[in-house]
Amino acid sequence: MIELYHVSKVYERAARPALDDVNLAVEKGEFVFLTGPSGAGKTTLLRLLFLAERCNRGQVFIAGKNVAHLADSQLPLLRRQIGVVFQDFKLIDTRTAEQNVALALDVQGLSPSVTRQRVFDALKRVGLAHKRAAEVRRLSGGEQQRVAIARAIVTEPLVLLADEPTGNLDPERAVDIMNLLSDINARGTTVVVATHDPILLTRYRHRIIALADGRVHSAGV
Amino acid sequence: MITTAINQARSVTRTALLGLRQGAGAMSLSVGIIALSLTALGAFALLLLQLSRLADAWNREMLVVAFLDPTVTAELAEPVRQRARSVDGVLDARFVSSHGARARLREALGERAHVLDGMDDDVIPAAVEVELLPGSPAEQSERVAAALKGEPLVVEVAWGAEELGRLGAVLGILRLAGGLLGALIALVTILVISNTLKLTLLARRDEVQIMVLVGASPAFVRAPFVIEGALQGLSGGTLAGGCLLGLHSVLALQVEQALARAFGSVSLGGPPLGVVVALMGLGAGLGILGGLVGVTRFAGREEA
Ligand SMILES: Nc1ncnc2c1ncn2[C@@H]1O[C@H](COP(=O)(O)OP(=O)(O)OP(=O)(O)O)[C@@H](O)[C@H]1O
Ligand SMILES: [Mg+2]
Repeated sequence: MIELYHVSKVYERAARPALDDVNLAVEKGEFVFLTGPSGAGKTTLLRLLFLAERCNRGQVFIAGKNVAHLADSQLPLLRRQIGVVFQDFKLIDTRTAEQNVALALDVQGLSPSVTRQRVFDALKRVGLAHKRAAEVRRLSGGEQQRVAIARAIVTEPLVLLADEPTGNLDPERAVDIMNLLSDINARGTTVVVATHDPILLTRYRHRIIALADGRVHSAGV
Repeated sequence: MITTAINQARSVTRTALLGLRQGAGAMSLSVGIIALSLTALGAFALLLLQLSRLADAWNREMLVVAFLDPTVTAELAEPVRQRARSVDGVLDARFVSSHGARARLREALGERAHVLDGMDDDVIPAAVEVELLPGSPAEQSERVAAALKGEPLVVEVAWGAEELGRLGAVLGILRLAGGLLGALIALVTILVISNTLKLTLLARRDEVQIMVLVGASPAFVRAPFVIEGALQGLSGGTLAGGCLLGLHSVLALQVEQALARAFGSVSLGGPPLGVVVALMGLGAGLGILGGLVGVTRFAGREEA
């Protein structure tokens, strides 16, 4: 589902590459942890996958398609196939949970009735159906996290990327979120979770890809 | 495909309206500035329009009048009339006796006709009035006048070219000034709208970035801003139209009198509805341009 060949990324004005000759593959339907110390390049790698950033060298394949040199006009279509849960959520706080989740479908031009139904289903899956009309800024951190997940899955993406999805949560909430992600994975979505939380890594026995200083340290089995 | 576009248009419109509500302060300022500039432009256009109409009317009834001694009769004047008709571009030539001219003047003066009462009959000259073909150039009147000046009975020849020339020159300057003013105001309007929208874009940068990240096309992101620009321009144009109607009802009379002093009788006509509609259209058009300019720098590849 995801393949990287000799991928390097150097940010402008950066002294050293954020990613350096990275090779890895994630199978369809797999659940993979991406780990490594702060600054190892986890976020950078995820950003290359949904083309928020482009690599300087190498090839990136998603669902068999080389996206490294995709034309700008094709970016929206690619992004609609990839659900992303951002570390800082990236929700519009002045809008309701429902409106935030609907945005991912609005940009595709789905009909209002289909959108309403799918938004409701997604919020129900993350256990927030009852808060659907609440403004995001009035929700707790854990609830906002779940709205972000609902928005990422409402499009039924091929791949779900989650950057530190349990970062700011207490352990109990973290377990809820992980169960949710496992449930999504069980329904066939390929899931990549970036985390440096050792408890998650030991508790959930998924394959671990470890990065250090922009290189793949170990790709697990 | 079509339903997709309709659904997208629906959410774009919703976003635009939401944006208008959020940026109400900055936008009412920009609408005010646009209304003011467009009002000035509209007033100017109106003036220009009326003067052009006046010039056209004068052009249409271009007359050359050869004045004769008051005692001259129709038979005596016949050679002058024939001479006039022999010139190219002349539609007709008529003899008007001193008596006839006086009656006409009396009619034109209406209730003020009593000023003629003490006047001798033979003060007002007889004349041969020469009517040129419609749309004849000003030089044509001059040519006719020159031909008639050589006739023995002709005392003096008058034609409209002088006044027309004066009006023409004024009109030329006004048209130039109007063009410049129009260009300037169009520029100001586009700048005001694009800057307001740049501020809006800045205020909603996070939102725009999020839309891009969940797969919005650049057109989907830009459209609300263009709609907001169009609505701002349309509001400005509509306000300007209202102002112009107000100005017209208050000032039309004074302007008519001022123009009458300079050029003779002028009517500004009824409320300038055509100009109002044009201002609204212009406002909306400039608003769309302003919207496009305002979001042009946004390329659709926002950083996450
Ligand atoms: N926009 C940027 N411009 C320049 N350098 C950047 C940028 N983003 C990240 N970097 C650098 O690239 C390297 C990798 O950063 P990245 O954010 O991918 O690490 P990370 O593994 O996600 O770290 P963390 O666990 O702290 O989130 C770091 O050295 C970082 O300073
Ligand atoms: Mg990171």
